[in-house]
Amino acid sequence: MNGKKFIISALSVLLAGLLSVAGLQITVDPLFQYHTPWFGMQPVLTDERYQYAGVAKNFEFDNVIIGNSFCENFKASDFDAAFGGKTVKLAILGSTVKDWGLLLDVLNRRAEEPKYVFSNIDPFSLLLGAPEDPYTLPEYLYDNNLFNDTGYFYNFGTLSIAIDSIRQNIEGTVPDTDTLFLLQARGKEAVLSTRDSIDAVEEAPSVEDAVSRATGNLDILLHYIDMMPDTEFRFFFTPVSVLYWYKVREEKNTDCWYAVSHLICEKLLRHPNVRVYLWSDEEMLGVISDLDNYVDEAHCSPEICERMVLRMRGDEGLLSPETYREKIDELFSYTAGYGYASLIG
Amino acid sequence: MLFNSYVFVLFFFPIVLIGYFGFNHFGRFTAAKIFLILASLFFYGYFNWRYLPIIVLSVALNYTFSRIMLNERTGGGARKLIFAAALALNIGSLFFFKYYDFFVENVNAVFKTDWPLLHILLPLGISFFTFQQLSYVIDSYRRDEKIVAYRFFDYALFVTYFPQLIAGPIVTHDEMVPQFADVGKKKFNPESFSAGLYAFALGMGKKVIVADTFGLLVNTGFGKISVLGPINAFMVMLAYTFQIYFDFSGYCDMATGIGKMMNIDITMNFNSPYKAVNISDFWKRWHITLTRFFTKYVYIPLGGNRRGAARTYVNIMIVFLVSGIWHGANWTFIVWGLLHGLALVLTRMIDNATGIYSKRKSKTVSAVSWIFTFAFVNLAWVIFRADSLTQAWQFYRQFFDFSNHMSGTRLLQPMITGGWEFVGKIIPASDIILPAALFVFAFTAGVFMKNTNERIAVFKPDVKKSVFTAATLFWCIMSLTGVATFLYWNF
Repeated sequence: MNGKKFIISALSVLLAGLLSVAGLQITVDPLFQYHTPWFGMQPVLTDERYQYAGVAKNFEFDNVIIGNSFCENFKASDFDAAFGGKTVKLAILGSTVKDWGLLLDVLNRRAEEPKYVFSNIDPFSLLLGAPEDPYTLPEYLYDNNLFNDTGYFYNFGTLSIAIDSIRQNIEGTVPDTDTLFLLQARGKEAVLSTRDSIDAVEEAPSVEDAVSRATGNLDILLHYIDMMPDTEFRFFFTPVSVLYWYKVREEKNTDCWYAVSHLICEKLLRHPNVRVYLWSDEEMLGVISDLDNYVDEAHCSPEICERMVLRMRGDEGLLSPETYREKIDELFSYTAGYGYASLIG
Repeated sequence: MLFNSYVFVLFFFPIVLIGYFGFNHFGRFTAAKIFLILASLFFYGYFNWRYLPIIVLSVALNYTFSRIMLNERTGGGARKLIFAAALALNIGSLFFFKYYDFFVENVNAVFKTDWPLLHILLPLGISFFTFQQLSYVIDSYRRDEKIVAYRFFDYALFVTYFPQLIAGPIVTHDEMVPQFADVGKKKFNPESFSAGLYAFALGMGKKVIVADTFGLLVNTGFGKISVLGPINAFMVMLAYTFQIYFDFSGYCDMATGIGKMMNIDITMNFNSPYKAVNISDFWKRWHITLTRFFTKYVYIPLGGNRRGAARTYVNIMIVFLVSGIWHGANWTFIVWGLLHGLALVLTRMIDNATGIYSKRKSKTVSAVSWIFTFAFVNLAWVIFRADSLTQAWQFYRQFFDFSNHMSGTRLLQPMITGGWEFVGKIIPASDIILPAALFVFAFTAGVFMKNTNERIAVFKPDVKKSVFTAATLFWCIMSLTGVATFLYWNF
């Protein structure tokens, strides 16, 4: 073999391999970047970060659930029943508000914008990442630039998803998307035994810094709220358990959370296409005080989530510029006066 | 831009090859050089275009200084003045971009001052292109016998040529410029190209398939130092030893391959360093062009070994102190450099007393000495990898901490990803077998097998190598998303 034959054979074999993989990826399109599944295949959803960009681009739907893990325990079908139309869940575990902006950008580029966008909103999420931090999502999937899609075609990870999609469709084992990523309540004892450790804090974090970071993150959301005037955004304050409120208190975060909660309402309630819910009534305070309703100290069960959908449908806990201060005070006053000693022991 | 990126493999490099050989084919040799300079600047600025003015200015100023110093009419005094300005420019810019914050942090800590940090973004490869130009500037000042007053484009291409721009080797003008001028090297050569393609595949495989996989284990290990325990600590230390070698030498192999595909021979930077039987031998094999630079421009001017044993040892320590500083703005690098200096001094002392490394070599001594050398290099890499001396100390303590250690299988878990995950689907107990196989392979390849330069020196195209090249490149291209950046970027 001479040099010329070596080059031709090596590059031909390489090219054949690359073209075959690209062909498979385009046909199966496991991340739904170009189309919904062909040949009657069911979509196989296994990776929120990688697949939701494609779902947002190409699936047919009317309403969207975004947010982070606080929205993962919702069933899209509950929203269908309450609000009508078809809802997709695009909530991404551990995502930041900046990530939500990336997803909203895709939704904004759709020919038809969603009727409703549902999401959690809370000091935790607004303080999770700073606007200048990098995205936690693979950005190349959220844009419309074909040139950077090489990272999609030529990727062992996405090839693995494609092969699994084919296999599960052939075997008839495609999971139901409505109950995907749902976690059931685990009971008080389990929640207590697996709670997060509390960081020892000498000095309370700066309220000014917290407000500054939260403002930056809220501005990301507000940008899309203004860009999508025909979409109604419904945000709800996440009903974390009293155990989580205890952590907030022990880590001296209460003042930050209080200030950011006000900021959320001040900024969002000015916009006609936004509704914000905060539940500080007896029933919901009972819910957050009963750890049997929780998967862990922060995430409530699918059953509680279903109740939250109905509350949003009935506008229970809807805040207004006139009422939000009182409602925030009710919640903070309840959690401040809670008898944590009886809970923790 | 990285060699191990889609944009380089699928777009940039094919376009450069077509443009470079195209211009040369039509006899437009200067146009080919200008094309290559522009392509190299694009390659450099692709990561961050703000770096571009720095390198362009550095090239222009160093070229101007050298031309003035090489001008026959420039008198001794003026030459000294220009030389001082050139040194100030190069060392000053390196200090400013790389060490300013480190310096201020230490001043603040010692004198309890509050000087502000600048948090300057380190320009890519500044240590490499600064040293490369320093060598030309010093040779110009000395009017070294090999020095030539090149035309600007020749000089600019020597500095910016993209295969060696961001992570070396630190090539010299007399190695590169004559090759760009050689008409015999301007035509596409299938024999040279095939050897280059093979070297590129080997290098990319070393980087993407081996080094990055070990990197996953190392990152996990260094993230959980307090629960490593002796066995895991040993495993993480060894993994980093392999990671840094396969990473940096893989990069150099890719540079060699790219050069070879363009008929340019790039100076060898690694010669199987883990085969070294003593530290002196190690530094003749590891980052050869850096050792060469320090020998020529620091060690010999200090007097080398011509002023007695004691002064030789001091000179060695100075060289390794500078080497440590060159590697990074952190006490870890300085201590790492000094430890290597001490080891080299000790090696010299032993050899001076016994002659076992120079006069009375034996296989038994070599074997025993190899064990000590390999162990020392491994232990020293821990300091090199650690974020701080405190972290390195924490790591060393794990060798003697027999309580509360994490499971080794959990530690190995992150390695089974990408292509290895695919391989793992057809191998039983792959979570243990694959990492174990990778350790055995890395050790065997590093200590017993021929290195890439040795392989391409006797390269003969055949079907096996052709399929290997295609398969390795395929695996690498399929693994490029999410791969780590080169470890030697910041040095």
